[in-house]
Formats: sequence, C-alpha cells, structure tokens
Amino acid sequence: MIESQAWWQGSVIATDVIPALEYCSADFWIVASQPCNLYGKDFQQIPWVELVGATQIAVSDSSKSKGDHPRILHVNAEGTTGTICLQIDITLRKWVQRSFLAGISPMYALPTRNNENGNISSNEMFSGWLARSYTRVALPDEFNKGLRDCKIDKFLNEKLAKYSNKLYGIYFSIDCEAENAKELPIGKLPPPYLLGIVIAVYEDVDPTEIEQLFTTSLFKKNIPDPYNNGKNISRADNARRHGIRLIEEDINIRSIADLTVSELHGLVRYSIVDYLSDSSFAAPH
Amino acid sequence: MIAAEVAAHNLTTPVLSQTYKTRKFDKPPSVEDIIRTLLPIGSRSSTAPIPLTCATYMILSINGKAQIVLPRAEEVGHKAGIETTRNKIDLIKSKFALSVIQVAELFNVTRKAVYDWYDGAEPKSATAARINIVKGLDRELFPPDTDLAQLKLFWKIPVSGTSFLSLLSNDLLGDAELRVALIDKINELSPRMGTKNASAIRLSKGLPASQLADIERAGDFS
Repeated sequence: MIESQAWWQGSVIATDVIPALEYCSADFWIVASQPCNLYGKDFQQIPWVELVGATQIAVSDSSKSKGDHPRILHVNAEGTTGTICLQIDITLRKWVQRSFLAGISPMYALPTRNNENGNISSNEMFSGWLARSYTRVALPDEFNKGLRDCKIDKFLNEKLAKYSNKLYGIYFSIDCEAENAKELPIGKLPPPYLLGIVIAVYEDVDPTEIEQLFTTSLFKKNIPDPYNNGKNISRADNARRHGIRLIEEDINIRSIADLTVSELHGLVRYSIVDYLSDSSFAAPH
Repeated sequence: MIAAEVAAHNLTTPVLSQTYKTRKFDKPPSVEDIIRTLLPIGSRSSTAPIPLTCATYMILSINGKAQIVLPRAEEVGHKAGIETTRNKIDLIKSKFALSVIQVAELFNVTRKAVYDWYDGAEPKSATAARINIVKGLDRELFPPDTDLAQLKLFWKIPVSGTSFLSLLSNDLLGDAELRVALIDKINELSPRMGTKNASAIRLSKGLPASQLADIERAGDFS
C-alpha cells in the first residue's frame, strides 16, 4: 500500500494530515527515511518513518539552497497542484508510525531529476544535507576563530563566489605545529595550525586563472594592517598572527579529473557556512 | 641616521662577505620595515628556531653591529650558485607532481618540516641527502614513456618485496647504493607508470554528489 501510494524519500505531507503532528510548528513534513525502510513488509521491525519539518516560504534564498547551511535548506517541492518553496529545518524531527502512510498519498515531492542547469536534484540535495549533519568534521574552535579573525573565511567566500559554478569544492588540510598532538582528532588540535587549501574545479575548467587570483591575493597583494595604522600586510602574514600558517606551495587548484580518492581522504571539505559556529554556541545562557 | 646593511656570509669562506643591499633610515626602523625594504620581495623571516647549517646566510647589520640572522637567502644563494632546499623541493614537486603533503610523505617528515624548509630551515643531514638523491632522479634515467608524475600512485606498493617509499627510508643503504636502488625500483615500476591515453572524461556536473559518500564506507569489509 505504501509503495502503491508512491511514497519516497523526499515525499511531502502537510502537518494536519497526521494527527501525531497536529501541534508541531512546521507546515509540512518531508520523509527522510529511505525507500527500503518505507516499503519494508515487517512493521514490527521497521515501525517508524522519520520526518523533517518545513515551512512554506515565498522565495528560495540562494545562500540556503545549496546545502551549505548546517540547519536550513531551501527546496522546491512539486505536486499536482503546483510547485511550492519550502524552508526545511533540520532541528524539526518526528518519527511517526509507518502505517499512517498507507492510507494517504504525498501532497508534494522533492524532484529526483537534475534541474535544467544540470545541478543535482532537490532530493539528492536534501539527503546529502541530512547526511552531512552527522558526518561533517568538527574543526577546532581556535581554528575557526583564527579563520574569522584574519578574515580568510570572508576572503574565500568573496573571492570564490564568482567562480561558484566552476568549483566542485574547497578542501582543507589542517595540521598543528605541535609535534605531540598528531594523534588527536582534528577538532582537538591546538594552535598554531598549518593550513593547506585545495580548490577542486570541474573537468572543463582551467585552474590557472583561479590559482593566479588566489596566490596573488593571499601572498602578494597587501591589505591594510588591522594592527598597525598606515601599514600594509599580506593576508597570509596576517593569518599567521592569528595562528594559521599558510604557504604558497600548499595552495593548489586542481581538476577533479586529477584528484585521487586517496588525496581527498586526507582533506576536510570546507563550506563557509558549515563552520561558522563553534562550541561557545552550545554554552547555556 | 641609521645605516642598515644586509650582507651574505659564507660559512666555508668566512672572509667572503657580499653586500646585498644597504639602506639608511632617519629614525629607528621596525624589523618589518627592514625586512620589507632590504630583502627580496616575498622574503619572510621565520619564528621557528633555525639551525645555521646552510652554507650561506644573511646578516642584517645596524650601524655595523649584527642584529638579525636570516637564513632564507634564495637570491644570494642563486647568485653564489648554491641551491637551496626550497629550490630542490620545488624541483622535486615539479618533476613528480607532488603536493606538500606528498613531499612530507616521500621524505617521511611532518608537514611542518616542509613548511619550515620553505621558510629557509635546513633538513637533517640524512634527509638532505635523500632530497639530493631524489632530485637527481632525472627522466633520462628511465624508459621514454615513464611518467614520473605517476610514481606517487605506486610508491607504496611493495613490488618485489619493497616499495619505493620503504627503500627511500632505508637507513642501511649508503647514498650511492640508495640512488642505484631507487633507479632500479622506478624502472621496475615503469610499466605501470607509462603515459597513457587519457580516458574519456565525463563532466561531473549534474551527477549526484551524494554518491561520492558511498566511497567513504570504511566498514564495508570489516
């Protein structure tokens, strides 16, 4: 019955359809469970389906529609009555009995086909975004602070923004200078840090233009020294003051046709918004 | 009036001192001013302790008194015909298409060590010897279609019982012996390192990125 109603990961139902969700703050709920769990014949073994809450919005915000924001995702959902825009909130989670789905049909669904620009489907975006909330590597607070204080994060965001459709991803290699801290997980490494950056571009992109921009902007072009009025300093030297050491030789722009899985294993995928918060946000007020 | 002079000194011939640049300052300059105005563009001083093992180093003198020693002297070294570690590492990176992380792996050192080399520090003598040996592994020593940039794809594989990396870190071999062994090893790996026709590249745009996560499942074979 559930399968015949075309339930799928990314299916959308309204709050008022399921009594268990009646007093929840979301307008809609998106199925997060995978089809194998939706269609399982054993309701004893798989009694529940997981839902993530969403509210309807008028227009999607591009800064929240690519899966970069750790808690909010904007997607379009399609149904027989048309297309709506949803703001999904990763903190709104519910588990309802799977048997509820048997008697109803989804109102909308996140498309599973790629969009007209060739970008990945909303459904793939949704599942990847959910998964990353569990797999995203925790970076040290001091590193995040240093990155913010020296404004390298702002630099990455602004300089790379115009190349966003050419970039596959930004990857960091992070080490600490302390010799006795090598066995610690990344999130616990003490400062100062060594930061290498790999910018992965798509196969049809020439890396040299971006490489030139990067190395010039980080190492050769000076900015006003925030600590010495009237003087200038390179972004790299300013970063070193904040515990982040960069060298030109460890900034690489690489085609994904050239990058190996082995190389990527040692790197942390970086997304500007993912790492804005540090553990101080968890402190009680 | 404060006179500042940067001069290159040579450890092997101490009397040889080649003045690199002089500058007069009206008021006491900051260290940053001195570095910016006297040293080659792009020079940096390192805060890491740097042993003076290189042959040529620079001394900054203020009013005739030595104040700061700066071992990073690529330009002076270049003029004196001396190759710096930085230059050697650049050559190796270029020849074997290596990242900084891969250079660290090749010479079994930390990334910090490589960063320090780029800031002018000198490697330990055993590592310096290995750097010289690897630098000398020229293309002409190997079959014409051997792509040295592919060595990194195979250097961990123990072909005939020994991998290229384990050979390089073997302390029991003398320099000449090691060089021969490494050449033999690359020749042994050469059939795998041949320049191949590039396979058709399919654009990744539009492909589901989440499939990449399936590669990451370490628990599949446990």
